Amino acid sequence: MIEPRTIELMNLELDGTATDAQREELRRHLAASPVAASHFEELGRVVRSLEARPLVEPPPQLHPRIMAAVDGAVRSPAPEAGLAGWMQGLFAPRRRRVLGTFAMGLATGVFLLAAVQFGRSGSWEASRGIDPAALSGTMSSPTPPPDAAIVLDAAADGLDGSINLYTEHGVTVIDARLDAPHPVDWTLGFGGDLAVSRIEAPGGAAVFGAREGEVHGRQTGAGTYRIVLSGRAEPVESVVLKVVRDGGVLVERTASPVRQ
Amino acid sequence: MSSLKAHTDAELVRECLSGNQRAFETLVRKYEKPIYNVALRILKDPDDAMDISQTVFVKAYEKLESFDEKREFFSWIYRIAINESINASKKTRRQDEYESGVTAALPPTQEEQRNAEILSEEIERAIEVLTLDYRMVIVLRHFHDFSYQEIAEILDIPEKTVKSRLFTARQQLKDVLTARGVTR
Repeated sequence: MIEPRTIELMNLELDGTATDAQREELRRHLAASPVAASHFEELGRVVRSLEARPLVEPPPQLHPRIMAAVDGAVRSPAPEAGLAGWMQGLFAPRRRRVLGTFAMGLATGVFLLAAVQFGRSGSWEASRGIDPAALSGTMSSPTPPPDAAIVLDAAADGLDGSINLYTEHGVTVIDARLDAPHPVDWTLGFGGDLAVSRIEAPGGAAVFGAREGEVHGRQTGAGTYRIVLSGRAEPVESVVLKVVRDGGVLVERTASPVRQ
Repeated sequence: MSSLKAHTDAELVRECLSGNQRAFETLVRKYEKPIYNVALRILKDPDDAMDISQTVFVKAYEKLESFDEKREFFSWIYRIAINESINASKKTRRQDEYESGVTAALPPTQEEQRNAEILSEEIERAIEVLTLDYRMVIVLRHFHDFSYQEIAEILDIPEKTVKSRLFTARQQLKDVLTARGVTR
């Protein structure tokens, strides 16, 4: 049994706050008790090991996420007020680990239907399928001009749509609209070390998901998507849309900078 | 304008309040790593730690006018981080309670694995069985090198309570490690 006073002196010494008198008192206690001396030695090992552990590096997407959220809080008190407000809502903290689909926003008619994220090992998984019958409503549109875009006017097989890229605080937001009169498979690829932070599908998609370096979907009719990447898409030409029907490529186009 | 990195925290707060948002970004860059680590140690989940870090800085920005310059900015923002982490921990109900029975249930570690690396890994796991009160003082003292007084200010508890919790927390850590055969 070690005296409480001895324990206290040990802890003061380990914290470097013991006075000379306390240190001398501890020395006497330890000399008189091999059990206390052993305990002090072990406690010291624990403390030294604790202090040898470095701080963990946060994920690289943390900083842009914070700044986007702060920016949203500054610029847009109303959540629906344009891109900044949308980003504020977009970057609202997840309360649950999200790997799947979810729906919300009946009041505004906005349905957020899926999200993807990194797993613990650094890999990430795609969302599950979506029931088109569950989709309805409208969504607010971002008002600023995009930094880059893919336009699908005069595309094959009646395909129509647009892909707009916005970059803010190092985060790339892709606002995509695709209208296909027939069933198509589409893939939106992006280069570099970008990772998908989040996908929203307000309407129209039958199935969508993500793999490393791309997001993809299958749909008939109109579909809109908002995809958030963890960094800048550089060059913007690294963003490529490919639409396939029955194994044949209908269109394959790269993003281009938008002149402002 | 001189580099914001050379400014004190109080100066950065004043810059920010005068409309310079880059000043706040400098504060974010300075504190995002320690704040993330505080949340990670308390919540034990990298995703939750990301969420809390984001919330902490948004709240700090929104409440910046209420920051008292007589206080240290780091203790103010750490306090927000601690409170947010505790709230999140309660919501998710994933707080593990330290019980003597927990240690007995843990598998023993083999003699030959007693080295510094193993001890370090075992300590990491042992911290997770501490209650939040004890985990917080261990994290603030040993991972962030705060003094008794600074921890008292961050947690808003008396300094003697900090000492008491810290001493007990270390003892519990050692008990867990002894039960696992890592320490004597």
